[in-house]
Amino acid sequence: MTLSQRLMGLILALTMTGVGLGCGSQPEPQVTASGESGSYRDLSRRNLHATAVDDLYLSPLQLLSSRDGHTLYVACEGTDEILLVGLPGHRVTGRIKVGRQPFGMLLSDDGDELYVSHRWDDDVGIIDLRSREMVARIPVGEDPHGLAQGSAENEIYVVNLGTDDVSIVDTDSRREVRRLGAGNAPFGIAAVADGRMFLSSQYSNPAAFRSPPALELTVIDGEAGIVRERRPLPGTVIGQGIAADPRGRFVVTALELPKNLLPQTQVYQGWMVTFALAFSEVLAGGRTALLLIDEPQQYFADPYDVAFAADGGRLFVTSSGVDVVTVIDVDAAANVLQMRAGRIGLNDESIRRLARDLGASSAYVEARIPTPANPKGLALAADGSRLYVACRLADQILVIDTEALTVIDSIDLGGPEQVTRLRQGARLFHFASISFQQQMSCNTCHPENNVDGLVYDIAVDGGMGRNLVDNLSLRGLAETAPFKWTGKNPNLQRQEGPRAAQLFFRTHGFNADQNEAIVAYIESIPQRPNRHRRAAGLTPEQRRGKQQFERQRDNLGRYIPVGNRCVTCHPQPFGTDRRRHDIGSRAAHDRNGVFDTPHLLNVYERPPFLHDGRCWSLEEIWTQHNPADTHGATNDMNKGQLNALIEYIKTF
Amino acid sequence: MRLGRTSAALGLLLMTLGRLPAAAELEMSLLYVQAPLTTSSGEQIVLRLPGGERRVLTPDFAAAADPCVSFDGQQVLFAGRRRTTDGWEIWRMQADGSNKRQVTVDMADARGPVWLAPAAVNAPNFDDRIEWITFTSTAKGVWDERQRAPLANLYAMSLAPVGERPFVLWQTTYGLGGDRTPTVLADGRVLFASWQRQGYGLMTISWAGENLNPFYGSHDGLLSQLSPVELPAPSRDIIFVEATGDAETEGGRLAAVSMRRPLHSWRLLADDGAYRTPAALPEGGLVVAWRGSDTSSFGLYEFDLRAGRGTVVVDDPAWHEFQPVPLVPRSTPRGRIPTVDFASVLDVEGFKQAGQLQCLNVYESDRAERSGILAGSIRRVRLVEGVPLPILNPADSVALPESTADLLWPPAHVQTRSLGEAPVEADGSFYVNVAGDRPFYLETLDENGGVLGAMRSWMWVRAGDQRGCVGCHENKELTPENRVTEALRRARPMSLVGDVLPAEEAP
Repeated sequence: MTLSQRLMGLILALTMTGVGLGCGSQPEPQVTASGESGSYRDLSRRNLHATAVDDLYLSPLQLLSSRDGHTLYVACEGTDEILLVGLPGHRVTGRIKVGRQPFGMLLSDDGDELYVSHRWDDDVGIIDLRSREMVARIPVGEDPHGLAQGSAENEIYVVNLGTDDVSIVDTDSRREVRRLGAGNAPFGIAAVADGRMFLSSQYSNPAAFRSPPALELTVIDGEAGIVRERRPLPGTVIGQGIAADPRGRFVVTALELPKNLLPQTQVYQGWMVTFALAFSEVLAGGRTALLLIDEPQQYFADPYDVAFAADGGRLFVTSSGVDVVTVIDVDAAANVLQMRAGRIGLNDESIRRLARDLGASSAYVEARIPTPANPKGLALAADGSRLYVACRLADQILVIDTEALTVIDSIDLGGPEQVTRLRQGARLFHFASISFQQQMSCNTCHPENNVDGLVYDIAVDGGMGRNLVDNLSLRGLAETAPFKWTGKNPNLQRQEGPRAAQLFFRTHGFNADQNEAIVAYIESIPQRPNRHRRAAGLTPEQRRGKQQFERQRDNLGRYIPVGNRCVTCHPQPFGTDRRRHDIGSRAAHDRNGVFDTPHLLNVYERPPFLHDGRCWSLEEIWTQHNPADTHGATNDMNKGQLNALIEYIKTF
Repeated sequence: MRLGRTSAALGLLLMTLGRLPAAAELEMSLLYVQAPLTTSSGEQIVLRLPGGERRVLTPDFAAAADPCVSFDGQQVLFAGRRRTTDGWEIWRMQADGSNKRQVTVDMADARGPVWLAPAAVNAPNFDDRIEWITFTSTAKGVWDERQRAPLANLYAMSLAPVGERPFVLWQTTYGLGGDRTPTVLADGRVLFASWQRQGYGLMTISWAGENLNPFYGSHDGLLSQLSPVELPAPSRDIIFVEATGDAETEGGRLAAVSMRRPLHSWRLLADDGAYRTPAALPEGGLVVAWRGSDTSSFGLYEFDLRAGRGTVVVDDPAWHEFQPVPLVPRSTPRGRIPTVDFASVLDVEGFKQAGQLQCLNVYESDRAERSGILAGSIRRVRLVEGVPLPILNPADSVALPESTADLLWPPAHVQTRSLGEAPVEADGSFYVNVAGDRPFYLETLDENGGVLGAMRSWMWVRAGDQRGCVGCHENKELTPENRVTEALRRARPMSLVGDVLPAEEAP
């Protein structure tokens, strides 16, 4: 598969850096033990591209306002800190070092403690705000994101994106007391008045091959501590921020409506992707309607966070891919939905049509407020008069008057003024101006540098419906050239340069300088900590799997030719021989059956699998799609052996 | 338009001194065209400097018009002819009128040149961006569908070699009604006026001719919209002239649509007198040609969009002044790598001459809904090619009454032939390979081959391009459904690229 295919947007093809060739010395992988959260190997080329300045960018991502209105807490993923900004002075008054990749924040009832989720450490830190020190860390699920106060005073909910679940944490005993299932990669959480929790999810639940994706809105009964509803949101992916209407009518989630099942022949008329807000009724068994925030000739890519004004009259959305805060007139939106007594009055057909109507936004989009680079998290001041916007790639907090909808200040958090090559690349990656009518950024299809979990019909090399390719992650691909599933693109410069511009963005793409910057950025994207690779070494099952991976004879004693052993095509450390092979996976829609060998780094993070994404689990690759042992000799394995093999593969 | 305090009369007085007044404080140089009142030719391009001094830049031409300033403000494209018997060709010169060079050769009448964004077509790296222009031309030597005038279509041309070719010249529109007054939008698309049965409507294409789409204007309306111009950001409003007659030469009312929602934001700016050829000023204002009555001459006025009033810039009663162009640098529009010709994305033998077309759902159509076509009733679709008539004698131009000539479909002065038929699946989808760069319309057929509906306009697919349609005359604000069509599940398009049937009237 080509980069373009994988990276779907521009970087589609970026899956592997085609580098290799003459790009200087390869950095030694940095292996770091990290306790329970797994070990971390930096297989990127960041050391080749980064300067000392790059370590100083703060990259504010999430915000939280104190109840007394005197402090704004800022989670900075760049420096692993929580910054304290004094209000209304708008100056940084303190910095607290926390765990890796801080994200969600929540204040204790008495306001004396701040809970912070650490995405790379798989725990929640408790900060004593009087001493400004971390006093405890509570292990939770993997990749924790959003936090919310539970029904009980001593109970908080932690959304675990990596394990698709929610941890209920007792803050008195400082331990997790229960785990509830959620959708695929849950992201945000919002509580409504009756104590129920609504969870957004980032990825679609498994769907049939060539069928639309569907996020899940998970509804938890906070009193009973059980999941009450699992509402599907058909046609959606990348649900992130979520907020509850103060008037109790609906919860709103920011998300994308991809068009991945269509041949990627054009951009015009929302042909590639559109962006929307899901208005879901708060009432039990509620229905959901999707309101586009785009316009017929312009798109507002990558909506991230949402926040209601205190009176519920306005809804603020960070359109992070176009550097805009979109302001929604909530009553106007409710009118469009024909809301009555907490119910959406539109019939199902009208709801379906509304989700496609680019003109509808003229009825409810009240304003578009420009921001510095990459607006992400939102927080409303305690008195509701100000909206704070974390501008991640500008190291600034924008302050907006929520009545006048004017920008009244921009708080400089103190990051470097210099824009390094990596910073330039990051901004380009996250800015949709690269695409026609600003319909998509690289981030659109590669949120958090990963994937959207979709299969795209790239439509070239044989025509429409003839080139279905699974999108691939950008994490850790620096040393895994060539790119594209066909392996045709030797390097990232080619892949995310002209090919992506011609096939996806429908513009002229990046210029030479920009192209080098974005390639440097992509080559610097690290793997996340591998939760299956422990610092102490392989588990017994993983060791058994390694034997299967490297075996020379099958269970019947038959010799396995070298070319049909797992280890031959997927050698350490990257899990790819960087060559093309025919593993018998050609389908009727494929033009040929020879594909580039994908790397295996953190492979568990990025389903679906195989070149056309036909498998939602690693098991299916061999139990469903390897009938003739053409993708390695595996059919003699018993269930335990196959499970062990998979457990080993997850350690790459 | 209400006039400001500085009147046209003042302009007349000062003009006799060889200078025109800077009545409106236009602190920039301006190009415009002046034409005699009494003849249909003899246009000249004039440079007006800040303060009012003016100079004819094209004294060595029998006629010159349609100036377009390059993005750096240094060069000017224009249409000109050395002798009155020559056809119009495209020329370029420095902004001071020096170094004139002919750009096109033997393009019959080439008019309306527009600078396009620099673009590369050198696959696979696409790293050699060169200058391109677009213009209209009657080079094909055929009649338009009304046989009233030679058919004018849009062309794109490189101003530098491409590989071993000294230049590339592409025809980019293939409609048979005629195209006029192109302009380039900030997003890189070409916005132009295209004849749609009874009037000119505004359409967009990519600079290389991909993605034909309506922008504003109805296939059914008698009103024409011409001479569109986009105001700079943040406004991005599109200003144009609207009239039932020839709005380009006779003028019409001034109207606008918002780029935010062009199909539903029409508003009247002014309808007193007659306006023509608006141009955007760098700070968002407008300069436009205007006259108060049919008997007066067109002059140039700076138009206050908020107040709806104009202030004279140039108005010489002995001349028509029109086609104003500020001689200033401006933003370069978005470039785009094309998908056609040698940059084709269709890596399949034979597709250099063919394109692909998929329609997601023929029932997604306001026409089908209005005519009560039931889901499942459309079994096939027929592609009917339009073949224009050659111009054997320019005097053969005909002028049938509007009411009869323009309501006929297919038009009376176009031959048609079937390119073939393709099955329509139960979900309303079809998928064809189609001969590229040919105008055609679609007919939907029932199980007996009866025609249920037919397009009333021309479409095409550029050779080497792929095109998707949401529906047939659907609401253009609707995005496509995200689903795999039944036609696509077959993964093999119906091929309509073989030998076409002999030319004949369509059934």
